[in-house]
Amino acid sequence: MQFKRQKKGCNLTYKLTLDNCAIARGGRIILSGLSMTLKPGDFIWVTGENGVGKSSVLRLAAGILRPETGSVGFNQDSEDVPASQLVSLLSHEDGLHPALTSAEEMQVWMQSDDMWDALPAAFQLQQLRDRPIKTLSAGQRRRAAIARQIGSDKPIWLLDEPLSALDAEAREALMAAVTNHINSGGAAMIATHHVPSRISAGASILNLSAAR
Amino acid sequence: MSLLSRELLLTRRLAGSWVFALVFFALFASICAIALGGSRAVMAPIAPALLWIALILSVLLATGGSWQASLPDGYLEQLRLSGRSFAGFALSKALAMALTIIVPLLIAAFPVAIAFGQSAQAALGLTLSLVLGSPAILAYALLAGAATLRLSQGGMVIILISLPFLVPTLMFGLSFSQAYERYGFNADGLALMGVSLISVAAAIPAVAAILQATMEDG
Repeated sequence: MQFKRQKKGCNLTYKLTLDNCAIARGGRIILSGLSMTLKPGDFIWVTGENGVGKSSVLRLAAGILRPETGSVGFNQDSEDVPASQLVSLLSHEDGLHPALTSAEEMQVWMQSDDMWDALPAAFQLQQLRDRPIKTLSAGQRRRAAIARQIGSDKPIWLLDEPLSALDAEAREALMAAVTNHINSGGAAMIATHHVPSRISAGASILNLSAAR
Repeated sequence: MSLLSRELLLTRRLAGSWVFALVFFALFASICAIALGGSRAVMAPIAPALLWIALILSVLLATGGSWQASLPDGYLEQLRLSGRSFAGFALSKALAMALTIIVPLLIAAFPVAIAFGQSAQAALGLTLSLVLGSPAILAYALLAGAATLRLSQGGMVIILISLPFLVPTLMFGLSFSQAYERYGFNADGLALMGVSLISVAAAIPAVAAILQATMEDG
């Protein structure tokens, strides 16, 4: 894959910082004292049992969830920037409209049409691009959501359970894309309840169950 | 593709909505005509009031629920992360609704007014009052729709919230339309425009704030 970002990513210094954050759900603190940074080349794999707050950590890092205490900072070339400049998020709810086709949705979200060429061939999205989202299977729809993430061309990828619903080939393609992204100056944080040891090589594991 | 073209595409594809509004408008007028016995002498004096009520109900019913229809879960997060403002999104949505739902209703209003025994001049004044007042109706419909986004029984609540806010619009609209036949464009028209502008100016940031809060609540 040849991203335009590859060059851009190398030149930029950026940092995502969680400083002593606490996360509340329904008024109850579920996680506290969470600190981490994501810099170019960083790869963090968040794990832990159901309900431990993996998704919340990702939403926090995306600047969508406000921390109960502590702070989340987005920094590029030593200046504070909005989260939208650095981060893309793949969450459970993909926000794709059932009545639109993937091509139409991608036009809204992607930086440019060239991004279609940057997508993993194994995702087979070219064949699906003119089909309404509602006619796609769960795995195909997931691939479209991942494609949007790759296409939105941000340096930091946050992926919440990205492997669910994907077949073996698409998983390989996704992990290859993540590795490529990190090697070219990107950063990623993945959250899954189970860490597949074979494909998580190179990631630093953050076990939220143990941290609690 | 801009957010506006996405919204326009959605309103077109989820067809129903504008056809539904137009059919409701026509049916409401017909039912009133039947209930009043079809006599023009009876219908003519109250035609402005009937058409105003028909427009308000059509717009509230057709646009109030449009957030639910066009906002799949997770959309607001992606919108935020794409760097777009919620206010811009709310404005795109409002424009798309105005173009696809309200414009057809306003076009239909003139012939309906004539059918209700209005003179051409009176029908023009009535239509003009609806044109000037419709932004306010849309603004409150979208605001109430956003506020009830997470309620499963939003539809009825939208009407309950919006109707009280629309009383000034209705009063200025009716008095403008009644005075138009004799005096032409009058001061009530300016007041009506003022009410519409204030409603839109207040509703767009309010909708954006509600969407922001909705997103943060997950």
